[in-house]
Amino acid sequence: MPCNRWATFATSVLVLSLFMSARSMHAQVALPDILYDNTIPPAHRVTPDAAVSDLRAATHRLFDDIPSNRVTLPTDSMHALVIARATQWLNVIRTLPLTALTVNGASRVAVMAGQDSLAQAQIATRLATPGLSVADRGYTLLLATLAFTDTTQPSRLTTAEQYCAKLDSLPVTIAGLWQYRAHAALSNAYDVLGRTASFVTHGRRALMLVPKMPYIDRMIIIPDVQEFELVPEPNPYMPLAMVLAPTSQGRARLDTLTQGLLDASRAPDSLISANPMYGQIAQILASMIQAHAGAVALIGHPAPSLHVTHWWNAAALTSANARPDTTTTRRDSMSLHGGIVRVLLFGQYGLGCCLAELRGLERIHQQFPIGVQPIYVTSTTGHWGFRIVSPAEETRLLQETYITEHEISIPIALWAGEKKKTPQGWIIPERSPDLEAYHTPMDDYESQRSPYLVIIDRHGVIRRTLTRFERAQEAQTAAFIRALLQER
Amino acid sequence: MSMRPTSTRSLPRPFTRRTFLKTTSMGVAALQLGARRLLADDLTTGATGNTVLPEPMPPETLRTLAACALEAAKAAGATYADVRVASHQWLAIELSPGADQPAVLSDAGFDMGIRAMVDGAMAFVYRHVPNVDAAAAMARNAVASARGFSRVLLHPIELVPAPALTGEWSTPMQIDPFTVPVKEQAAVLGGWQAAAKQVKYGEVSSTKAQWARETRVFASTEGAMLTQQFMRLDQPVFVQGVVGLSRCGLSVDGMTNSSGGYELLLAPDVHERIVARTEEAVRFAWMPATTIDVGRYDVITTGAATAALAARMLGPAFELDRALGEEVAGGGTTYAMPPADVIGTSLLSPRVTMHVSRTAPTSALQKWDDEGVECSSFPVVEHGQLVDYYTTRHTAGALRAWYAKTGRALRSNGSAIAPTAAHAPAAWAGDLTLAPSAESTTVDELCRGVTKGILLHCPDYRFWQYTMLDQQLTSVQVNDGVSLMLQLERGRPVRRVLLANLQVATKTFWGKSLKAIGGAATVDYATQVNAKGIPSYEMLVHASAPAAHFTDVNVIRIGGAG
Repeated sequence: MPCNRWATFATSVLVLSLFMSARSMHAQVALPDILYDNTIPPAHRVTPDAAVSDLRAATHRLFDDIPSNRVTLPTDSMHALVIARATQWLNVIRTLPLTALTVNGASRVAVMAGQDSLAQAQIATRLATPGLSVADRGYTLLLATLAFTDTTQPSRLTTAEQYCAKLDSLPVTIAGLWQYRAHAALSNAYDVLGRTASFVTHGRRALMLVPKMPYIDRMIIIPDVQEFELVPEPNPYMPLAMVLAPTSQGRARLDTLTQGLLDASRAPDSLISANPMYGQIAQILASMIQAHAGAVALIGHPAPSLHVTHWWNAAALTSANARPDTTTTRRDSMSLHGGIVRVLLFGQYGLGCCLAELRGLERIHQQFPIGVQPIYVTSTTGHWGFRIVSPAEETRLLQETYITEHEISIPIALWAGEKKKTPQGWIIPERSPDLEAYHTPMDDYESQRSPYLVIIDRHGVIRRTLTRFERAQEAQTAAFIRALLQER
Repeated sequence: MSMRPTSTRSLPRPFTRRTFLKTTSMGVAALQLGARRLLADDLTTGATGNTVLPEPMPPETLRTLAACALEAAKAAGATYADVRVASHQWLAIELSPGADQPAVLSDAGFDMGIRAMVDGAMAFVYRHVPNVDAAAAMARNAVASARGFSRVLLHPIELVPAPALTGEWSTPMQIDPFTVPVKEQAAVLGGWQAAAKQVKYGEVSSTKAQWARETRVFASTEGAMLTQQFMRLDQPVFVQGVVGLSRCGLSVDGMTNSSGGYELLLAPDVHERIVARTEEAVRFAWMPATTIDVGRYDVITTGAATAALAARMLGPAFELDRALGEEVAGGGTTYAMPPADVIGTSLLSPRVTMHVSRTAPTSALQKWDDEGVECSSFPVVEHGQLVDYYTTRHTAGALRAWYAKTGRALRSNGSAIAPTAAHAPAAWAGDLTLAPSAESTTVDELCRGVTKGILLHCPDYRFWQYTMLDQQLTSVQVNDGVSLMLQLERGRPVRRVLLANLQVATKTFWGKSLKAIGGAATVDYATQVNAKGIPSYEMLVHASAPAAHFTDVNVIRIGGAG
């Protein structure tokens, strides 16, 4: 297909020139391996929602699907690409007759194209629809809030706040779920931007809505219970807890919130009598809230030492006092007190998400080459696939996997415990007493909660724990580390 | 229809490897590629089905291979042979809920199969290798097998006469989906997801567009040479309402197995249909659930539910090969047998009138069947009386007396269908149409006055095979896991019924139990998978039908305590 090849070539040249021009502005800009075709096929009729889907895919492709070693991409140029694409879509959409169902999508495209006034006019048109139900009004206001909740242009947050306020005026029994989502999204945005007061305000308001919602809605806001992304916004509980827990006043507010959620987790008797499964769900919800609360308990306490048997990439440990202390009787015991910020990621070889988060840890390391020490902490499991292996053999295999195969460059701490028999007759590796100190009530919820991220400040105090460290959490984590580095 | 006559020139001969290579594309080798998952970069660079798949084999190449096989069969001593040669390509784009990037799979392949007759015995052989040597070997193998069968044959096969047709036909379409960028198609799927999300507690659980493009050539030693190009779409879209622990999934009307081009994805009212269906799913999910006592109930079926039951219970019953016992060790037999005793009798309720065709834009649409006979629209049941079966050239002779009695010519009605060129043709229904009532009876009117009843919905327009049938199709059990049963109180649906199954005897159900049928406004459709053959293979049967009221239906309870 020569024409396609030409189109690809032409696109390559276009994108290459864009990145090359960006390269002149950013000394450390690296050219991505991927190319992006920024043309819109104009031949076929589309809907605004299809345009939104295309733009989401484009944004994902540009910002989230980049190899981990390409962290210095010119984000301004990439935003320009998305805006240009959205503008093209907008031109297509302008030729379409908008219906009640499609005007919401059109307004989202307008926002992505930077046409805020147009978007607001379209939202106003939708809200002025005669006979619009409260539910439809609420959904429109939720979409409007989400569209303007833009961390790349913080000035838009004012508009988002206005739509959120209108959404708050609707009855919580009908719009409570969307009010929750709007506040959770705003809370997340303020967290990314480091605007703590607003982050706390919206996070608390989101969580305080939960007890007021119908029970059915309460259930689907809890992570792991929600399905099919009914609530895609991150749950604000854990990040909020990280901020509130260190002070006594904050801790009291957090305890109130936690108790409110625990109370809200109890299913009404009428529901349980109609369907006994609600009783089980209530128990799961309560245990999850308690597990999250338990994870917060480490906050504000001194970090226990790391007591491991092997270090790889130890040369990458950044300062003398951060190196393993080999003079003690313990094997490679390392104090985590003083000097630098440390980010510990506890993970297991067999979990794909651990490797993904390890890449995230590498990206954090590349953002903070000085003053921040990432350490990946892992341990042997006693088996390799279906094969029972000795600690020495597993250590060798793990070293090959992490260092040779995956080329991990950050320090890796390994606890390779000798095997021992359990009372039940199983043979498992002994556990490191120091690593046990990092274990949380999460372990009661799942046998071993991995991955698990712990951030320790320069005074050796645990300041944040994360049970999830995906792409979505990287920016907030980076902002938090930046704040820690600025502390005296 | 883009039918145009082909040249009447004689087929080139002789067919040697040298002449074949001269006349065919080097792209043939590429057809041996297996399924391929598109890489992320394919999606960013405007990749289309055409750019990621090898070029289809030209029809001329397929015709050459067909002619080659026929030459070899004749040379080996076949008294008759027919061959199907096909090049097919497949592109599936699936967008998971909440995903930004689609999963895309593509595949291409080649099939050919030959039926050869010697002394009244027939044998079928197939191959997947697109070259003249394979075609010739396949033909010789079929002839040798038929010769072997002829020595133990009790009843020689007789093919009823059929004109030797030549021509070309393509599925009518406006936009070739294999020229549309995959990412654009994925964006359309994403738009559908957004539409469902507008409904509180609504979600799309699956969106997929699966395109199948096939060029199939039929040729026979009688001189037939037909080329058909099919473009089919399977676009299962499921929405669901999730209300706490209660959930209800529904497929979206109009989004099922179809024939046509990319324009099928761009139907102007698709968002409205998705929203309406999602609202319906949420409404059902909100309904309280109950179990009911076993016993006999009135059952009102929506148009889609009637169609699903018809496709399952009536669809296979009138396949003539099944009625003749040819499928006794395969798909089974039927309650409508033996044909000579049953044809012309009142088998079902006088309210049942059923036609069969292959002219609707479903995936059954085609111009000629796989014996080269033009597909036709014909009645099978008229006011309960069985008036015809789905016939093929080799089975239609069994109805010779009936056709003579009713003044009709002895001919196949064009129901010989092979799912691929590597399958032997057999009798299949295609599209069933149950005629609605002349009156404008609605579902609500059918429900009115029912004091102890069930309203049966078909949540999935592709009801699939979860309704259980016996080998003779005489009894059916409808599972609550694949249907949506609502309890009727004072003529209104009030609760979802759990753990109930309907158990019916086919002839009774479509006979004295059928109390009323709905008007034209209640007509809906469904698709079923039915199986036959040895080894077994599956084909889709489409049906459209009005709502209906059945009485005295046995309801049993399965599972659960008490």
